[in-house]
Amino acid sequence: MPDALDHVDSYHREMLTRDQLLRRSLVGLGALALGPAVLASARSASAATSAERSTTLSVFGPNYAELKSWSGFTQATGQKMNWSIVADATGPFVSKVVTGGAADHNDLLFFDGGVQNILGPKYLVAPDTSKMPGWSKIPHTVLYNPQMTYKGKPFGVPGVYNADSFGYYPKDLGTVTSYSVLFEDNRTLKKVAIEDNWLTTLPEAATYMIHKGYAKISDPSNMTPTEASKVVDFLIQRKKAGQFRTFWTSWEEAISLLGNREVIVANVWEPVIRALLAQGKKVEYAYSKEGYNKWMGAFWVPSHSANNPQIYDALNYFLGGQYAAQIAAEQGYATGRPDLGIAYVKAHPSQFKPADRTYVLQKYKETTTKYRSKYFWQNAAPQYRAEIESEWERFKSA
Amino acid sequence: MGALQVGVSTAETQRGAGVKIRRPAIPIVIFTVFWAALVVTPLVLTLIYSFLRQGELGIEWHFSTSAWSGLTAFGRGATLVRTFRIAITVTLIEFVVAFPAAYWLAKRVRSTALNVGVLALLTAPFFLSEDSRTVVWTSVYSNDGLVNSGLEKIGLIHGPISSLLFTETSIYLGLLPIYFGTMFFPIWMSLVLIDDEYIEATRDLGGSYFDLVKDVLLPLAAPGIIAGFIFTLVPILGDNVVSGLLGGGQVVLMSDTVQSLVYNFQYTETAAISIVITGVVAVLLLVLMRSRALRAGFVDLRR
Repeated sequence: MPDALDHVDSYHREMLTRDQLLRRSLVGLGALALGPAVLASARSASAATSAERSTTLSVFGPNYAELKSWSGFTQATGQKMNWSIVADATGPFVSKVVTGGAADHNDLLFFDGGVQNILGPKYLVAPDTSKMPGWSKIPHTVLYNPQMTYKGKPFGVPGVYNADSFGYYPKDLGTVTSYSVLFEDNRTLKKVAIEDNWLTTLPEAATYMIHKGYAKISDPSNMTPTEASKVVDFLIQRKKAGQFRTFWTSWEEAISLLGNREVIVANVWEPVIRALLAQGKKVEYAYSKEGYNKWMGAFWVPSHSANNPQIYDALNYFLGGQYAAQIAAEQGYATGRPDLGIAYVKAHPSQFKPADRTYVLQKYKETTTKYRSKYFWQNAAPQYRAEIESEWERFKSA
Repeated sequence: MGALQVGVSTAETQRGAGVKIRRPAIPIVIFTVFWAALVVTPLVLTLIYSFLRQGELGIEWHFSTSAWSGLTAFGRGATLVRTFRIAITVTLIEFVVAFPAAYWLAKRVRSTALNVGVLALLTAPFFLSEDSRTVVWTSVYSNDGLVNSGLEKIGLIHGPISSLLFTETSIYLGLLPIYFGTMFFPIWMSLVLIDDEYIEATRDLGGSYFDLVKDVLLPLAAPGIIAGFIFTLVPILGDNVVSGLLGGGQVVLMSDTVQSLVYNFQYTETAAISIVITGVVAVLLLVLMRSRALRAGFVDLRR
């Protein structure tokens, strides 16, 4: 355990150790390594937490960052979790914030990066980073990506992120490293499902077109109307050629389509492939030479929560090792502190099935590798959002 | 058919001559208030919204016709036409199938048990959500579904018929079973209320089945037929379950477009499309109510 904690900051080192020690009846290697002083402070902190905090934290956002059980969260922060779910679509989320008062009635908001450019300081405030001891250890590329920043400065707290590509059946296509099987391959005619969402499918098609030299597009995630129109022209051409069997919209639909082999390729989320692998399906998630669709769901602080200490306990939990390890094991997603996730799994091996343990460690290694590749940051609020949406409508109607 | 016309007229004359109908003022006031508040006001607001300017996060109170000028852009014109084509076709098919079925059950079946059994079977689907009723068809029409695997097993095909799913055909296959009941029940109720003596009189006067349908059943069942058309056509125009699950996004209907526009704050364009759909439906129903075959009986029964 000490080797795993070497690069962990003191706050999270304490949290990791406290949790582990309390769970192991206050004995073990961690206690010896860190000493009685830390142990005592951990115990008193835990007692204070339980006694003083019997509140509920309300979070509003789509559920992809939710854990199956929040018992660890409650144990660590003394708060119950009340996660109000909204569709993972910019319109409904913003609408609930602007006209439904979601920012006023919840302690924290959670949504795809980019939404801060729509809501801005009118509804959100930048987090007080001095209250998050591990802030400086969050990788620079995570903190300063366009998903997280407002006018060049970090404005949200990293939640979960991943680099998406597509899933496929190797027995039909061999090992695939290109989006061509999704957009332009005779072997996959009528055997492709694409996500019914401009946010993912349009930039992925744009990335492919850039790589093939079909179009000059400066930023796939912030296309001009002309660029979006070119991409849609290409997609309509492929649609008329019979490339796409269907569009998928939900987790269940994606699993069903690939699982029943109604299609053999789909630009699905990685957890879909993880679920199919668990069912024994011989599918793979592709490494793409054209690059990845990198996205991030972040926590946003509503104006009224600016001075609420409760949210900082929660945010520190989301940046901690337990959440990093659990969300990686359950969904295959990374958090702002991958290092703590690895440390947590190593420190608490008994909490994870062997396969999950291996997966989490492998996952973080893969994520790091992927992020060295080319990618674009998915953008829920591009400058020409309405025009892009209209172009997507043209594609669907064709 | 002269005897039939006389029979109806006599009943009306007696009622008209002997009974002074008191108009129930309170129910009419209550109805008018509710109708104005829940039906007219939203429609008027929708119309007003369609002439406002769309802002980044909502509607801005400035006059604008941009929603109307973009009504047919981005494939919306084709989608509107496709939606009405599918909705009207399905409604007509439902009518052609439901009318004889309703007549058979209302006038030909004498067994109470059979009557109750058939009605129960037709009612049962209403206890399930449309999603549940639709999603089962995916396992029937998919490449390895019941139809394809059955046909392959008996050697009729050598490879799945992929057009059974995620095509316009699959939209029809999905809509027809869902909206059969909404056409069947109003017609059945109207037919049940027709006095059997009118049917017998038609036969006595040497009328054919065609005469029976044209001169007796259609006019007297007019309210049920019109209700059937309304209950079938209007929900189909707003149905995005079938197009989503069985059309797979490949066949977009207006409801999909509306949902997509709402998701992206395009409220003014949504309002304009809604007004167009409401207007076209109103015109269609007016045409239906003024059709000669139905009008006679409808007007007579209204007296």
